[in-house]
Amino acid sequence: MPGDVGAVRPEPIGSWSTSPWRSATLPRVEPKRLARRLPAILLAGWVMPGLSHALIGQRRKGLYIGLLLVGTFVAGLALGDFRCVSWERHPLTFVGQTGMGGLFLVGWGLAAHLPTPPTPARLESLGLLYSAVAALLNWLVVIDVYERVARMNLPPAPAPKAASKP
Amino acid sequence: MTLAELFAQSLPICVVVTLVMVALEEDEPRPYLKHAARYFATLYGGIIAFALALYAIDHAFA
Repeated sequence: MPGDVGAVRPEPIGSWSTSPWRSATLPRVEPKRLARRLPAILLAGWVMPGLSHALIGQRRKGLYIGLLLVGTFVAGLALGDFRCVSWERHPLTFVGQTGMGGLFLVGWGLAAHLPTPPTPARLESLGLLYSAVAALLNWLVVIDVYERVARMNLPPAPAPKAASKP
Repeated sequence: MTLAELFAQSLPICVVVTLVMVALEEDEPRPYLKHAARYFATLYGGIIAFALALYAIDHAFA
């Protein structure tokens, strides 16, 4: 239509319909359906970093974030000899590490079952830092998914009114 | 821990924080690198500046 020439349809911020992070093969999921499944999506993102982004249609971004966070957390565990997730020895860091969900439980189980060495690992403090930062970042990732789904469900912005002539 | 160790050890974590935070903020690849470079410079520069300031204070009052 002639009246539509040059008109720009407002796209919500962070819209995944045009985003290159989104997998082209993934079918579009209805925002309302996503909102109904949001608790499960957020839980999945807590258990496995990046999974919540994948579930809302941003598969590439989810994979990217998941690889980064899992890699950093596992590197932290390795630096701490797989014994650095411990409530008894590092209670504050332990609280931070809870953000990693599934891997946190694995690390906790490893720390509980492996024998405690007489001296801590040489780079244990660095391992604690890496694992805690990765886990805290995962909280932000989960919050980001919540925000994205909430934005998808916003009502469309009203069209700007034409300036009234005096 | 020496300053060199601190800078070396905080470098990878700054890279990871930058990559994740900028990926969350950006949906387009075009401004991504510019944004990431600015984010990293601010984060790592801030850590270096803070560490140097603490080092200087420590030496001034030693």
